[in-house]
Amino acid sequence: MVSLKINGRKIKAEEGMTILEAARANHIEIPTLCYNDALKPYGACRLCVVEIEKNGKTTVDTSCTYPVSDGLEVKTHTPRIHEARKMVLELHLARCPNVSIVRELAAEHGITASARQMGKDNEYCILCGLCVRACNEVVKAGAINFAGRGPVKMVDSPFGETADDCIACGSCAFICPTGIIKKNDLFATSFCTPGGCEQTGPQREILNWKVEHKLKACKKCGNPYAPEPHLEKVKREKNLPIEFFDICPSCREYPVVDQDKCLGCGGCMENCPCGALELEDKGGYDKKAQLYPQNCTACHSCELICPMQAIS
Amino acid sequence: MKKDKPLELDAMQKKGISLLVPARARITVGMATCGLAKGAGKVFEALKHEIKKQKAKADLVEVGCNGLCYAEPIVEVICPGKPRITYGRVGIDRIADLVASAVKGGVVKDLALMKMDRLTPAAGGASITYAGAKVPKDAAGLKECGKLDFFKKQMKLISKNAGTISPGQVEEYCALGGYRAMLKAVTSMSPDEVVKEITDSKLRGRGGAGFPTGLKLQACRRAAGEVKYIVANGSEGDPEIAMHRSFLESDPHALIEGMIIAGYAVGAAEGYVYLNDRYQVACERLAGAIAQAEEMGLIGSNIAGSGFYFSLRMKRGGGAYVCGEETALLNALEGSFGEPRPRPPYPAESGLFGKPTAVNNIETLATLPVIIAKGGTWYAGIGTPGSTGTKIVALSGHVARSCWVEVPLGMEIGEIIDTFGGGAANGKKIKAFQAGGPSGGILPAKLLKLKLDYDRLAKEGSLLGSGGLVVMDEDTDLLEMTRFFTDFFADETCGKCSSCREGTKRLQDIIRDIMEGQGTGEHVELVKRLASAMSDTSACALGKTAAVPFMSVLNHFPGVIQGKPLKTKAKHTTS
Repeated sequence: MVSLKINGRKIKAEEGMTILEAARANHIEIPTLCYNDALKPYGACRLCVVEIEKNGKTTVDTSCTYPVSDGLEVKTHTPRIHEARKMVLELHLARCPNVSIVRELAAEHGITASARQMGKDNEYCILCGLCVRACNEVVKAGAINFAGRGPVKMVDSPFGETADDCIACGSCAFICPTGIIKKNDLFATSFCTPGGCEQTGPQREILNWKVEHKLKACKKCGNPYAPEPHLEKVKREKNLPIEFFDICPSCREYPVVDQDKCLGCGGCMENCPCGALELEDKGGYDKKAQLYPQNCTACHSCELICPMQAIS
Repeated sequence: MKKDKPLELDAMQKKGISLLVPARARITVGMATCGLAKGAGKVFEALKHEIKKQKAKADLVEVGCNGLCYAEPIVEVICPGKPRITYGRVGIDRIADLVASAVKGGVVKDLALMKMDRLTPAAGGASITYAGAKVPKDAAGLKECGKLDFFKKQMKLISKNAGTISPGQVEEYCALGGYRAMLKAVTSMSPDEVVKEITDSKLRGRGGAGFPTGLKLQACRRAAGEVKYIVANGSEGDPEIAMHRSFLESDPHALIEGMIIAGYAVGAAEGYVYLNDRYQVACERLAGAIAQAEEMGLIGSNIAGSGFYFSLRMKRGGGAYVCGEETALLNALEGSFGEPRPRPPYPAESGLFGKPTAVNNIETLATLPVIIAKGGTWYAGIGTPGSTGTKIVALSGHVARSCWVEVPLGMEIGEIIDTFGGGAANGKKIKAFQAGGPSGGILPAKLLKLKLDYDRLAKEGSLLGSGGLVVMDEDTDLLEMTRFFTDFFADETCGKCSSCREGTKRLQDIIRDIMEGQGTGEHVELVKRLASAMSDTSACALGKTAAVPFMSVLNHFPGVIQGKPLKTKAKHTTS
């Protein structure tokens, strides 16, 4: 454990935490644009800057990247920080004057427009890198990344062409704070030529990466529920029975553990690709398997492996 | 795995001396980029051709930069028993004369700049004697190199070989004691002793920040882990100035020796030199030097039987200015975007591939052999207490003589410009100067009395940085210079952090308005706010100092920006 001070308050934090994590765990709010707790901090937006005093020296740095250590004294809302944040927001606003999240954050800091003497652009991407980091760190598809340096920096598919590695999972669109990533699920599409039209079934398109993929339909309810390359990736990486990919999450049957039959061997837990099973004390002699349905994808791997057929 | 090569330094030194003080005429041509730009390549070819034609008994050798860049192409002639003669501004029309007189030991008077009887390194140690006691009649009128202010006032600790040796000949490097310091370190000192000497020298990083080298190496040494790296920062991206280029084109072995010592000090088995790809000649010469060093057992396994293993690789970088920032450099070395990393952790703890890494400037590393040879305390006696040692300075701009010199720190900038540069060109007055690259801003002539010193310059809002000095004369349009440097930062920003990427763009907008006469007091106030925010919130020094050119002109030359017609209210004529 590490002891530091934030805004005069004594805070205890775990080794390896950043100042931002320690602050938020103690309900001290620091504004961010490019931070997400599922991703490694990047430090692009510069909004989360704080004053950090260590060994008598004060520096200003981003709290999302700065690791906690003993004896740090952090100040999150000094006049110096306030001025710095306001200017950073003005710069964001000058680039993206029509992006809601930027306007909201700016308004919270008393800014309605960037200084007239600055030029103005009309971009919708704030270059926060959340889409890139989600695709590379979590999904691990690596379909998109930053391209160009400096003033021409942008997020793009390789060479601006169709992103071949994109599995159309939509994580980028989900995590984008500005809404510039356009993911459209089309329930009926057709391919038309002068010779006639062919029905091509449900598709997902992500316009920014010039990607379109077929959506697989659930065998039970018929609703298109996931893009085929996304399912292919899961197939390659996880050890799941083949029937798993035919049924949508709404139609899947979720397992139930019969506690009387359960041996507590832990085989289901080890075989679960989603970490949805734990062995817990139920007050009896042995530990028993406990299902956590929020993590469960109903793949039925546990049912197949249980030696006592305790899961159905 | 190659068999361990025994190191034969004595033999190499002997051979080197016999090459430098040869049995027959040796003609050298300064073939660093400064010389090549002035036609040294053509001079070299013409000499080759002429020597063959006259069947002259002379050897033709490429050497590096002796610092007299303003007088290129430089040709030197060494005849057995005669002083070394330096010729300047040699044109291809004079080649025949030169060769003819050279073999006879004569002097072509109108081209001759100076003579050298003995090469005595500033740090002492091995010296080379060219001339006998009797001064030859022809050379009587020539000034002795060591007596000229240009050389007397320098202190060539690390640049002593430049312009004398062939960079492609490792034996010539050994002639004046090269690789002895490395041998001393790896065979008779412990790594901790090496670190102590460097700490005692109070050497500070010669790249920009001026961080104490001893502390950096110490931190890397103490960091946990078996695998460590030494990285030489050869990214030099400052516009207008090239200290490292000339250094590596003239004496690449000095860097190699320094890196082996640094590797030994921290316990690194691998070193990388990240070199600006635009420096074609420097890249070739360094690659050649590394290959030679491997061949002679200077790097590799069990160096000089000490058991120390060190290997060195060169990686050519794209030449982005931001890659001079050490963490951006590390990212580029790893094959990723040249963008800075958040610090802490610092590279000494987690650097290349996440391992403890000491990233050092080329000049810093090239200084290590001198410190080991003479001792840290000796080195600390040179310069000023806070800025010890010497610094390579490249003088350029509106200076009468652009040149490349090595001076003890603490020398007044004005004196450097006058003594070596001959003051402003064409008899003009100096209006302003820039020290340390664009981050150093533009300073007024009244600050020429500033001493070349890390802390003194930092106090003025400038920095010693890479050691470049750009002179601007009275006709310089300072607003245009401000625009030039601001554009430079806007082009070179990596674009990761919004403060710098957007901030530099907006600075350009504002300067453009001001130059078109559309500036107002609000423009100026905005720049002040931008400068403050960029300094506080940028991820690295590029963004932090991007507004310095504008702010320095605003502070030191108020008339320039305020005086540019700022929009005033239209005068109402009363009639």
